[in-house]
Amino acid sequence: MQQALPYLVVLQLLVTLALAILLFGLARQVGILHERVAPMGAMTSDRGPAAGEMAPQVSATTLAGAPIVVGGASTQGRSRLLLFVSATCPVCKKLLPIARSFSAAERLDIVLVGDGEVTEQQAMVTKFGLGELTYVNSPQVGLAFQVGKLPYAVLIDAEGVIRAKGLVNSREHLESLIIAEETGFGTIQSYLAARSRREHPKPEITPL
Amino acid sequence: MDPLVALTISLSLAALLAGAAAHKALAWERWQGVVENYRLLPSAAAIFAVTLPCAEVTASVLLLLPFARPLGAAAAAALLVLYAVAMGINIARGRRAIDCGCFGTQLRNGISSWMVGRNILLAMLALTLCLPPGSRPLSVFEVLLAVGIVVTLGFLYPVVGVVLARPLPRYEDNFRRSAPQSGR
Repeated sequence: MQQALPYLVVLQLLVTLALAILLFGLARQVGILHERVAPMGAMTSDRGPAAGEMAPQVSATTLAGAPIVVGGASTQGRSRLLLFVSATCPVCKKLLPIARSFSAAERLDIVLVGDGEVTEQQAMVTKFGLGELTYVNSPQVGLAFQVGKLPYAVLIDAEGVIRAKGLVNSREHLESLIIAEETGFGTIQSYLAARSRREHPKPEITPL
Repeated sequence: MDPLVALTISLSLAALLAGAAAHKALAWERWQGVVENYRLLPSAAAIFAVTLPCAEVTASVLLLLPFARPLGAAAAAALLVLYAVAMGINIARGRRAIDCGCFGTQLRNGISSWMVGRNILLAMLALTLCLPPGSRPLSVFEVLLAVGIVVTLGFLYPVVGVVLARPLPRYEDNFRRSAPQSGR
C-alpha cells in the first residue's frame, strides 16, 4: 500500500483534472448558449416619443459650429439615425467605429448626440476619427427624446417620423432598427402582439 | 505550514493574478471604461487603470520567487481586499449591473456579494503564506503534483462564476414594468 500511494495520488489527480476540464467545457457551452439566445433587437423603453409618432424638432449647433435642426422632415430626403453617446460609457467606445462603418454601408445620415463638456467630446471625435459625421453636443436633444441609457439610437425617416428606437449595444442591435423600418414593426413586442391576436402580422406603419 | 501546501497556494494565486492582468491587457480599451464605471476617486481612475494591472503582475512575480513570497502574498491580499471593497461599495450603492472587470468581460454578469466573499477568502488564503513555511525539501514529484493541482483549480475557477451567476431574465420579465432595464 505504501508503494502504491504515489501512483494512487497521481491517478486521483488525473481523474480530478479530467472532471475539471469536462466541467469547464460544460460551463463554456452554457455561456455560448446564453450568448446565442441573447436578445438580438435593440431594447426599447416605454418613455419618450413612440415609434410612429413625429420626432420632436430641436435646434442645436454641431461641434463644428454649424446650426442644425434635429428631427423634422429631412432636406435631403434621407433617413437619419440619432445615436446618443457619451465619452465616458464603455459600450459607446465599442459602438462608435461600428457606427462609422454603418453610415457608409447603409444609406443613412448619422447624427451623433452627446451631452457634456465640449473638450471631452472633441477629444472623443478625434480619437475615433468621427470628423465626417455630424456631432451635436446638446442636452436638449436627449431630453426631447427622453433618453435614459446610453448608447441609445433613434431612427427617423425622411418625413420626420420615428421608425424605431432603442438601447443599442452591438451592430446587430443597430441593424435591428433598420429591419424595424423595413418591416414596419417598431418593436418585437408589437410584432408579438400582432401575432398573438392571431392576425396576419400587419405593419403598424407603412414600410417605405 | 507544509511547503507543498504553501507552493500550491502561491502558484495558484500567481496564476490568478497573472491571468487577471493578461485579461485586462487584452481588453485595454474596455478596462479603462470599467475602472471609470466603479465611480470611486474619478480623478484617479486613469492612474488606477494602469497601476492595478502592474501591481497584479508584480505580486504574481513576487509570489513565484521563494525569498519574496511573503511580500507577494501581502501584495496579493491587499489587491484582493481593495477589489472586494470597491465591489462592496458599489453593491451598497445598488450598482450591481456594472462590469466586474475580473476576467473575460464578455459575460458581463455584473458584481454580486459572493464575489466580495470570494475575494476575502482568497486574501486570507494569501495571508497564510506569510506564516513561516516548513523547511522540508520538496521532491520533483511533489512539485509536479502542485502544478497539476493548480491546473485543475484553474479549470474549476471560472465554473464557480457560471454556477453562481444570477439567472437571466425570463421572457415574461421583458413585459414587466419593474424589469431590470440594465443592458445585460
